[in-house]
Amino acid sequence: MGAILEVKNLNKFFGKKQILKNVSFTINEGEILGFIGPNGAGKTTTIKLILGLQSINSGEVYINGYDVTKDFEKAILKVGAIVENPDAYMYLTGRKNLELIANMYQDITKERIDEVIRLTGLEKRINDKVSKYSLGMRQRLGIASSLLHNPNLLILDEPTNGLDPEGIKELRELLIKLTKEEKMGVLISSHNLAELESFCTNVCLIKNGSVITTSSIKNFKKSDKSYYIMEISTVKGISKLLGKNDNIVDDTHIRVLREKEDLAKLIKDLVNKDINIYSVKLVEMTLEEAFLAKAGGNIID
Amino acid sequence: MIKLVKNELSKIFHKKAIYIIAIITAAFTLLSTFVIGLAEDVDMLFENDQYYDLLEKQLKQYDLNDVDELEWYVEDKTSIDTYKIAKEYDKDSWQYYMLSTNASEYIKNMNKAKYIEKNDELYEEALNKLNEFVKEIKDNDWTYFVSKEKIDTEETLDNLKKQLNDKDITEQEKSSIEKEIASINIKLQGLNYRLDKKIPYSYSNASNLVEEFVNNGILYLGYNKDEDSYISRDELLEKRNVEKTYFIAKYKLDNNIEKDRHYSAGDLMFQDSSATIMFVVVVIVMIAGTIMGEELSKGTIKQLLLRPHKRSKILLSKYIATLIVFVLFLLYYELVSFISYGIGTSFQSYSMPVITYSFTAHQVIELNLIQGISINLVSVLPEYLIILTLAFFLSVVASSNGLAVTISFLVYFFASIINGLISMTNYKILSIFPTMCWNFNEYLFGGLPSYKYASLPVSIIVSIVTFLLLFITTFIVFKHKDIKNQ
Repeated sequence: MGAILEVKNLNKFFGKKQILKNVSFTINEGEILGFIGPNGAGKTTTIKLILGLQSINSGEVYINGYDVTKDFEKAILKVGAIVENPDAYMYLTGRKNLELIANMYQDITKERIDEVIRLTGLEKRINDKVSKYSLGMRQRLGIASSLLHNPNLLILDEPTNGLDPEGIKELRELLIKLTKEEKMGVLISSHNLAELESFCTNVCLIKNGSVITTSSIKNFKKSDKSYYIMEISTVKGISKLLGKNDNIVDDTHIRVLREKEDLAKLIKDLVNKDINIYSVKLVEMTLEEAFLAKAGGNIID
Repeated sequence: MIKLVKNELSKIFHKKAIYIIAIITAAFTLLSTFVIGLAEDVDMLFENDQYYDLLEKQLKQYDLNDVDELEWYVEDKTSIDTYKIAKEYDKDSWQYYMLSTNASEYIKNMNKAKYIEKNDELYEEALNKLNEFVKEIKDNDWTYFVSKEKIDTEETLDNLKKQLNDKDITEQEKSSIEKEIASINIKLQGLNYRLDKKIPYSYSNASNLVEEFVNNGILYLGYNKDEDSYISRDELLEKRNVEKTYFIAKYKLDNNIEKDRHYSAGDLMFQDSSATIMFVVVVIVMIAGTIMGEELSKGTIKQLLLRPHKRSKILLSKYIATLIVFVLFLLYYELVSFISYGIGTSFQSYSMPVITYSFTAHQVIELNLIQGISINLVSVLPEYLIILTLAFFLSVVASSNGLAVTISFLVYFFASIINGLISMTNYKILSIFPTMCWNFNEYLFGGLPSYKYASLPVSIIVSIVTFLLLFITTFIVFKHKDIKNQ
């Protein structure tokens, strides 16, 4: 079984400005890939290229084995997506919106529409005009409309926008259920790292149009650099040994970000300075911390 | 594809704007019928007591010692006196018409004698003539006057024929007499129409039709029938106008069409040049200019492009939906016109055929209402189709409703001004300007375009090329369009 989505060396220029530089990643069955990067990093552009909404300058996108530029109709057939906003016709009811979309596929039954409405919890408001919906409701409608045709690849651009914590929890449960039961692959973009932590199986970091790293969330957190809390006899005279990401917690504790080998070197240095080391403890990192550690600097700008 | 078109139609008909325009169209069309009805009555407004009372008051203010003012005094007094005599009879009657047109001559002579020449003898003479005429009208039927005029005319005709037999006359004199005989014959024919069809002298439409027949018939005699010999286009157009009016009047008289009213409701619909057709353009531009623009600017286009259909298919479905709405609105517009012209004239008059004149066959042709309207619509269809496609094109290229709608309207409204300017120039190349070519109404039934360089084949080619250029460019642009980030 091949990958559901394969993105290979995507490049995109707006005029002379290069927006995407050799972006590549893969999504397999059952995977939820968190596509993380600051605003303007190229997340939405990448998604638009995948979906054929913008032209590709160079590179390839395969969805279920079909090239999106050459075999668009077959490639897009089993894709559900929300790009930028959950777009809906405001002057129509939620149900009418879903019916219009259902009409664009071969056999989507009334029962399927009702099923999706139930799945996304829209039953009570489905016959209201979308203009009366809150952003959270529209997000749900957007997800409903992207699930109608039983896709095996779901692409969600910032889907947590406008959702309250309860809504985010529901979305997470829905996505986990879908990936397990329907064997879907999901691409989910966000700049809200804390939220994605609980969603994803894999993470892809993008900054300034380049992919910085791609890995499973477990590996990502256990990436080369880690935070360690060290209990030492004194913090006097050690500032030269500390890097940018290290800090002094109190008179007897420091927190450092180090690769394993560097940690060993730091211990040696401290011993050489006649500083006693009482304990070294590995700190389990949040995704955000891991992210900052990987990309360096202020990512969320 | 059918499902996609249905989707688009469903979106269009869920918007309120289209219903609002439909209501405005109906209201405006009915209102304009009402206003035109009022305007027709305005002519008669002057022919009433109030007006002449006012005129009489004004009479007192003239200075009778001033030569100019004296003359105006006589003029005004004559029209007041004439009205006073004529109003003894009903305004629609033949007597009223005869008195108000013929008695004024005697009355003017009376007033002249009394106030300017101050000659009692002349005054008496004119007064006797007037009394005689008034008595004649009182004692006789209108046929008496027609017959009298007929006898006079026949006498003139006989005299002319005698002159023609005179051996001493030159060829030149002969041909001028022959021309005069032809004119007199038409006049005679007009009188015969009155007697045969029982059309008294009056302000009625039937009577006007006889006048039209006589006047244009006589004019038509003076024109050269060989159209190739005309150098001036204006002259040729004038000749054609006279020809058309003359033959249509003759046809209507011969076939007893429209004895009561000059225009039937059917004629009005056939010749529809009313400003209310503008509403059809409003709808076209509004739909075509927003059907893509709105989706592009609001981002909902992504909902369509993420589906398993080619972009060209999505675009085509929208174009077809626009065309369907256009046709539906056109039918609606015709229905509204049908009702309002029916109210304005009479619904019965729709049973009369639509009469027009063919310059290819040089004869009058009779159409039923549906034929007439269809032919007319087909002739203006290219203009509407091009406007529609232009709005569609602009909305795709500019991704903006406002721009597409505004520019398309400007093009529509300024087209006539641009065409007017081009018509004044002498550059033949400007005759291929699209707005000069997109309306084929002038070419109907062998008609001549008013612009001397315009021609039917060129207009057809230019219109097709303009349409295809817009249509194809729209598809190419849309196929390669990047859906910009918001």
